[in-house]
Amino acid sequence: MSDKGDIQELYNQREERRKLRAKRPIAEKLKIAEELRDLQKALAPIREANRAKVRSLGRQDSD
Amino acid sequence: MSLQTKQTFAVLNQMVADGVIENYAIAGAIGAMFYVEPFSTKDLDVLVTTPEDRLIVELPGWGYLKAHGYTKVESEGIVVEGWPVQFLPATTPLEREAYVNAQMLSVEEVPVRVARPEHLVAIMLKVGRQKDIARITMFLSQEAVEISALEDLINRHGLSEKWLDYNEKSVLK
Repeated sequence: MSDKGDIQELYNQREERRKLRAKRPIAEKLKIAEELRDLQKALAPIREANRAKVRSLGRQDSD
Repeated sequence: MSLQTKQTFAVLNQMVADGVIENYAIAGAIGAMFYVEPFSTKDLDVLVTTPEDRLIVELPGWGYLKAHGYTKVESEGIVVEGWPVQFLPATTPLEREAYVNAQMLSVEEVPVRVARPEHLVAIMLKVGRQKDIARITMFLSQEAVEISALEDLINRHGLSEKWLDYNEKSVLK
């Protein structure tokens, strides 16, 4: 199989897995959403620190 | 492990029972998750109606929730059992239709009124942010919408041009 065929096959498999995840019970999906929300909150200070660093580097570049 | 979101839905149901809101329809990302795979979101969007002749001077339900101990505001929503809840008045014909035609589902025995997938997709198409477009693709690729029902909504609500544009750019051709 060509590389392109391999990639297409991987893509198809991934899509099939996503379809299966979509059919999970809603309680399971909401639990995942809660975990992702809590993770986002935990990561917020790190992301903010990174944004501040990028902004400060941007300012230095323009000086 | 208990599901916190279930408690949020229970509070919404209580608000209806207590006459604070006429009814509600879960929309946005949480609404979408009833039909597609889960993904990250910060808040819970709830469509509500307000009397047309009343000027909205405060968030619907704000006084009630405050009296019930929900006083924290985050992401422009009132935090109810862990989720910032945004009450969005259904003002456009499409939003009103989504509100009126929402379906009763349940989460671990707790009833919850959720906008139908076709309405959610039509609203996303109308709003048209990058994340909305990505979510439309999720609905389509995960076979979560009835295309004929969606196209009917698109035609009736003047979204045909946006739909054509989406399809032209879509990777799902």
